[in-house]
Amino acid sequence: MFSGREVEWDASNRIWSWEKNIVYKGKCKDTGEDVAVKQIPYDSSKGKFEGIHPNLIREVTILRRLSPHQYIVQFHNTFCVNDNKRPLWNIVFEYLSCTLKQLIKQKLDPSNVKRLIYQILSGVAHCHSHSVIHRNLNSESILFEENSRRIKIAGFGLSRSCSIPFGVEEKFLKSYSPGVEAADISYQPPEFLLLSENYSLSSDMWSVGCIFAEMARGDVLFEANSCSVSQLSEIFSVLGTPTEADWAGVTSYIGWEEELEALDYNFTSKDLTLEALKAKVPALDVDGMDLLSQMLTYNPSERITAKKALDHAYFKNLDKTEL
Amino acid sequence: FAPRKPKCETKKAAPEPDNEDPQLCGPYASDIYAYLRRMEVEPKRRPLPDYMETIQKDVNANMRGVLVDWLVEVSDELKLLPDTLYLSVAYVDKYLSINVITKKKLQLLGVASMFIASKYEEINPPNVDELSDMTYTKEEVIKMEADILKSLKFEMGNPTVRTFLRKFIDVAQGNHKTLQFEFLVS
Repeated sequence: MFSGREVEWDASNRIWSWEKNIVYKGKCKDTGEDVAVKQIPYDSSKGKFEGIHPNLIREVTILRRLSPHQYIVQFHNTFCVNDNKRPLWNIVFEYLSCTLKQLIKQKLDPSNVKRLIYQILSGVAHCHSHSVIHRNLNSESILFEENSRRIKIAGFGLSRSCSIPFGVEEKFLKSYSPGVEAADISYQPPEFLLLSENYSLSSDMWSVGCIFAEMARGDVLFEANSCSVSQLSEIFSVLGTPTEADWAGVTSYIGWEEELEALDYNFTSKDLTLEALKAKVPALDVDGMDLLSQMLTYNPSERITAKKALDHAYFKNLDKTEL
Repeated sequence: FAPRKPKCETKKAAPEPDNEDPQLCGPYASDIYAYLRRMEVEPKRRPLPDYMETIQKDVNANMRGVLVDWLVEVSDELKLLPDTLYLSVAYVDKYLSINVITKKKLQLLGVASMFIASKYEEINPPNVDELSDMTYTKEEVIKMEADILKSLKFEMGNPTVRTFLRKFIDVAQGNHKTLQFEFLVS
């Protein structure tokens, strides 16, 4: 367990960066333990120095709520250094060298896919029952610990508490607009791409579905597109264009554009959708397909919850003592 | 003034999950409610009931009253969410349970608390300048911001009265009109 207070890190040892956030590999001075140091620049969103970044306040508050937990990245502490007379905040985590994405590249066999998705669902259920919505689940915000062979959910920079109803934040949307963060758009649920206010815990489950499919097929399910309309048509080409019957109100969301209606992906039955999805993820068995299609359900309120997913028939033969 | 300790937890049924509105987190509603209740009664998250007498030397309950009134005004003027206001006051009380503060700095504590609460809760948090009314410099507010965060150990999301109020009104099948009325009552 981490007990040191002082951490040193080497600025050349950058392990990850996202927008202006950078993660360095560091060492605890007292114990010699490897740590990850995430440096978050101060808030200058309005062109002026406005103190600590809102995302950092939320991220640390949320990490303190969720960790320690076997499937959540271990948070150690925060510290502040002086950067041109301005406080520069850092978050110290346990150091994990492997992302889920790297693991997927090495090809996972079906039993490992089952084990890992079960772990991810347990971690997500933990977040959700603590009123935390992650909002940025993808194969790079999930890390893998080689010794325990366990996943750890990380990347809570965009998360927030949902104990009160909330809308999709404008600032948050902007960070996903064309070109800025194309990699993550692959995992965004349709309600998000359509700028619906219907954004809640179930939105994380869409991302989990994308990750599940990615593990089973060895590659991203929905390729990243440069804007939300082409991302939606990418999704529709696999799952069919949603109708008002699937999801009441879908065609009246702000993000719904006429060109989406003109697309010829009007699958007439659920079986056809399943078939198209099956073609994308041939390695999944019948139960796995059923679970996946329940995660990739258009209507957010009909999507399977993490808790329910853990009881799905797909996990019947999983040895839960070895998780 | 003294923030009161909660009475012992009695077994109560959690509010029925609301399946019609996914924003209220349907299937998780009772889990979340139980978790928030556990959090609320944790002693380390609460302010001391008698901090004015035992901790503070320079400030008193009246001054706190004036500060809270001022925060209510500011939040009204800047159209901040009610949650932001409740959180701000909670930060002030928690900070004052741990740190002695001078009269001169009390309002600074209020400003910085509201600054943090807005960042936690609001979609578009106000600038320092909008909040501080020129009484304090930006550097002072930002230094105080860091002090509060350290002192409260970044536990900025504790439930407040307001967190539960909405739940209770939902259970009582109130609508949004009564919701406004309830804010006046609280």
